[in-house]
Amino acid sequence: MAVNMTRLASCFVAVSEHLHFGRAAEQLGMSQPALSQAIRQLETVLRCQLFIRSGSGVTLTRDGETALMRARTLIRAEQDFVATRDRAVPLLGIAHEVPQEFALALIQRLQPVTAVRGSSAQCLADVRSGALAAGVVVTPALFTGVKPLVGAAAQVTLWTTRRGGAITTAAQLRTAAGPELGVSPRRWNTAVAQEVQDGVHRAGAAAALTEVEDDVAAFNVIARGGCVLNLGREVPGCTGRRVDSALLRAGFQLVVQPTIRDDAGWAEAFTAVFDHQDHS
Amino acid sequence: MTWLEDSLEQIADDAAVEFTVSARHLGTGTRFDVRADVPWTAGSTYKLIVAAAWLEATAEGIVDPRRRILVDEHVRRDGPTGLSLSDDPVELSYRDLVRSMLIVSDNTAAHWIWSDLGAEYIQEKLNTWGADATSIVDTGRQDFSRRELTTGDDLWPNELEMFTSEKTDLQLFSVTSASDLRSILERLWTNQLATPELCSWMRAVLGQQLFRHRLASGFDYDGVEVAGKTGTWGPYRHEAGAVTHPGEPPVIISVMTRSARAAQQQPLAHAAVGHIAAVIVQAMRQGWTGE
Repeated sequence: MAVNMTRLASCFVAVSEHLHFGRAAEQLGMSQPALSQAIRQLETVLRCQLFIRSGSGVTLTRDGETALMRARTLIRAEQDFVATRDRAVPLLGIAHEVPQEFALALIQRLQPVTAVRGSSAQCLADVRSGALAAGVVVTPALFTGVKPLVGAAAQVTLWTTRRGGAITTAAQLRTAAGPELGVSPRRWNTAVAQEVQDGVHRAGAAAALTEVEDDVAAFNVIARGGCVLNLGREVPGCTGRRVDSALLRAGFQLVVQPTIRDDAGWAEAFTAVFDHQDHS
Repeated sequence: MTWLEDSLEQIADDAAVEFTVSARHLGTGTRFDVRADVPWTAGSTYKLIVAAAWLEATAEGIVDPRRRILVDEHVRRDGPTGLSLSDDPVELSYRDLVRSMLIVSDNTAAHWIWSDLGAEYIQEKLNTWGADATSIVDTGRQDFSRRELTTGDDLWPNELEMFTSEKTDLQLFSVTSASDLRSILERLWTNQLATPELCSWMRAVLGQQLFRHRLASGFDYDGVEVAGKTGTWGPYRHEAGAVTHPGEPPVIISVMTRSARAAQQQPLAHAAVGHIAAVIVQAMRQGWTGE
């Protein structure tokens, strides 16, 4: 039969604290002979003597003092383990394309939560596998194996060093696009990449599409005289020109594990952040 | 997940589609399935089933393949091809009507044949073939059960709306699975439908299909025969058919895909059907046994 080390450790800690078998047995709610047997069993397993039993009482041996510290650690670890459900913080994946201020506002509303940035593809895979409790991804996307809770339109924005207002016609888009257009990497979300490519071609823009993963890559495109297309994530030093949804359309979607019934207010928080904030 | 499934998932991811597939090598008998029993909107693959039922009806003497049929405005249905585009009445034989249904996915021809055979006769055949996931319905004629279609809880919310609308559309309301399509084609390629002559006729007609951008796109070299029937509706792009290399037994394969995108033009999804089929067919020809 397997030895229940945590039980033995609890017996050991009780005797160590009381230095009295009778009082320790009383605290543990067990008989004194059973407690004595447990300590003997522990000494056999550890192959050392833990207590010196004498007529005047019980004292810890040097090995006993060392063991006491470790026994307490073991008991605490078990208590932590048992409390997993109470202490666990849900993990939320947030797609790279989600503007920073939206991400921060959402995390703030959803506390306690631990957020990680990732691609939509990775967020969806992680929610599906259970590694994440929920994710904010860019749509269109396939929701196989996850539960889509609520969605919101994303504001496609063209970042440029040249000034200009909202882009509402194909002609404005092709004029504004210039020779090079920084776009999100295809591997982040292949469906969105196809939508962007189709939209740019439909508008008649001849710009070369360059995948930009971060601000540095975005600046490289800007420095070469190009523009960056994203979902509202600010490119410092540039003017953001909103692109009409008839020209380019994308969305954000909150997805959760299919087993989650009570969404703990996530949908409400998502809607509050994504529907009522002014897109930059 | 085997390396084969892993390769297919990568192809699907790259095209932003999800897929189901069922394949059988008629020489070795090797079978390969991924989510093959999941029922999805059939699109025009239902025409393959109507044609198979028609073949049986012909063998049973219920219909005459040489009967002259007049297709006019009274029977014309909406559609982008074939008789659906005609301005004037067209007269043709029953078997040429079936040919038009298969080679250009003619909606008018399909609806006429479906009406003539009757939903009950087709259902009887589906029962005989054990095609349990398949249902060919037209809400104009049949009591449509929403529960029937939500098997596997696998419809999009926007699809559910369309499914429960009053719209009459065989392509939309018919559902099938990759496994059922493969199984019916398998019967066709092994002469287990109607008569061997009729099976041979329909195999030849499927080889005359005009659309080569899906299944056939995976086999873009000389010396291979690809016969099949496509199915398209909304985000769905399917094709079921047979791939035959000279001197080798055919591989029967049905690939169904559903795209993340709503766009009508989806070249990557078409190509994914061919690419998925190519990987499976070549693995089977190479002696893949499921390891």
